[in-house]
Amino acid sequence: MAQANKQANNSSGGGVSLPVPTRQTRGSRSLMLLILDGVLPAALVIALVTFGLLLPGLFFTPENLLGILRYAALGGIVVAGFSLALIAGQIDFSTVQVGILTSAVFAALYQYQSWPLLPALLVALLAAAACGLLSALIINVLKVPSLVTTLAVGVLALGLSYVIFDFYGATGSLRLSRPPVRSIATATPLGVPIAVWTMLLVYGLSYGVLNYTRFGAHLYAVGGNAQAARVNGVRVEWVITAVMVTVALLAGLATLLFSGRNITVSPSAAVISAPLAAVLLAGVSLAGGSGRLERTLLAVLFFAVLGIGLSLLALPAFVRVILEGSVFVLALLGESARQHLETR
Amino acid sequence: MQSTSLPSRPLRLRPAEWLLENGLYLSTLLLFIAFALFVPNFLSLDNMLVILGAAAIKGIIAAGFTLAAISGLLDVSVIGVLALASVLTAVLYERLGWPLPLTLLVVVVGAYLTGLVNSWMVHNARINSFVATTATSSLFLGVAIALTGGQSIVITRPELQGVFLARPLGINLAIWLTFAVYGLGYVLLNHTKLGAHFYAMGINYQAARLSGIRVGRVTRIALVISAMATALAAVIATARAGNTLLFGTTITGYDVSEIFIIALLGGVSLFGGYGRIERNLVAALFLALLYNGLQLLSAPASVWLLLKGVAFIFAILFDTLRQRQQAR
Repeated sequence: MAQANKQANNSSGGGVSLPVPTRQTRGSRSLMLLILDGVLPAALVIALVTFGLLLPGLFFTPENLLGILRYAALGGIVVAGFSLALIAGQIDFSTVQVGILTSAVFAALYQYQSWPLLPALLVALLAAAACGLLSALIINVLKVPSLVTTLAVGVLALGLSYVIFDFYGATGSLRLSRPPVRSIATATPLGVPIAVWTMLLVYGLSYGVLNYTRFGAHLYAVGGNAQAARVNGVRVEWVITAVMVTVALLAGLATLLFSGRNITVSPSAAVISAPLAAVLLAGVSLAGGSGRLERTLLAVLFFAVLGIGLSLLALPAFVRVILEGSVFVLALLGESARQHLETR
Repeated sequence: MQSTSLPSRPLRLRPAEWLLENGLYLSTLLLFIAFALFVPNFLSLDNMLVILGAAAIKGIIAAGFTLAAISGLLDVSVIGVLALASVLTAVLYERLGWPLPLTLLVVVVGAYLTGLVNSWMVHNARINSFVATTATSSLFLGVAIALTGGQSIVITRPELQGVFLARPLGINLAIWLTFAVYGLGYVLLNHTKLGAHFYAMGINYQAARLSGIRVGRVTRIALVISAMATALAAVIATARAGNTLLFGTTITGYDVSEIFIIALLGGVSLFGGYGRIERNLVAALFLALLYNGLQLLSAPASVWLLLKGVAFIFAILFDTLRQRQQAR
């Protein structure tokens, strides 16, 4: 919470340290909280029913439902990491750029330098990890809030990937056509795309780590109150480093799958443009220390249903942008109401 | 001077402090001299005006951003407001054929409303300003896309360009406007009660509120000014490009990180309460100089992006160092 909340206090709460939300405030307010918690599943059901009615025989087909999962998968992988970071009180705004850098490094080594697959993959993921490490270093040593830190690291990562684009790509993007990258990225073991398997694996692992390991408990502790966590023997710096590296690796992995599917790496390859919206809709607190991963998955699915449904309805682009923007703002207001209820 | 350990400390810190204070001026000067010596055509009058013109638009945006940042508010709705103001100008002026003054009036009202939305999110809904304005930015962008259906509009009527590309006394209007914005900002921050309130709110929100400052009003004014400055920049940029700034669903050539770099290099603290607006003008000039010099040297785009990233990291470092100096 240290950094994120310092920022939050500055703008909305002031420099005075607020009381840490405790569980004992449950009472008559628990109903309101229950309603707030119910909004997301309700919205998902409403969206499914609405699109089912508007698109009879088109929406509820096995292919389309699988398509929704595939649409959700890559963004979902990034959002899983994003949630973990937010639970530990850190916001990562460099996921898009770190993803592009990872893919660019991979394409340079594998396609243009003809490296074998595994070493190229390893070095590309190391590049992603280095970005996460740099962010963690700035956050830990300089005590700069993560949102500014990652904004800067994002610009740096994009600059580095442009160096690669300039060096190898005559047209501003890199080819990634050497087999078997595309067949791996589009493989469908047991009829389910590999991206979906990866997403399920990532969520399963993260869920396990968050709920059943000491490290997971430490993530909540650092996000809830970094100072208290430190006093209780949690190595705060180490936890922040681990989580920032994890986000960077997941962003790199998702973008690698994305680029592999498209057989090209472009400087505008954003797997997900607004991970924050999905995470807030899931009720992960901006102040850190709370949030459940299964709800993040629901939020990711909601955005996927919205995206696929709207594109099937063939509505103009602005409808989607405005709808997504509104969901973002509403999710923020919900989060604000929740914090208000929990701290009162 | 009384104690034995004291005198050595200020002496040891003085060069570092001096460098932190004046490093920006020094590096701008050095950059200018280096480019003047090694880059042909750099020193021509036309090129100087190009540099100033480029610095002007981003400088105006940064002025509003700084004012909000001093008050402890990070307004990152720049992209959304830029898109909305640019599209609004083009739709009213070009598509509907409205007269220019009326168009500008509506754009100002629109900017005022975006500022109100932002301040409502921050003050009434109590959401962290950075996150709140990230969200509203996407909303404004959506409205802008809705207004044009995603198509760009070419400005064909000459009046807009006639006004905003005019060169009174041989210098672009944009540059005059930048000086005007910074002059006003300087007076507002340094010689008015409201300016003192901006600083007070940025230093300690609760203390400001408890000492009777109407924080809601100050928040509203700061965010409205920030939106207005961005809208002004949008109108100038639209006139210069002869086109809406929005291509498809994105804005090219402007991003929030550059505004952050200008503000940080200018010495604005992202925690609020510290910063001098006039220094931003030099920071904007520094970035414009760098970009221009690299272009004249026909350096690839990657060099510029990479330098931007490095500058951002260094700016953060400086900000931290300055805070530590002050804390001592």
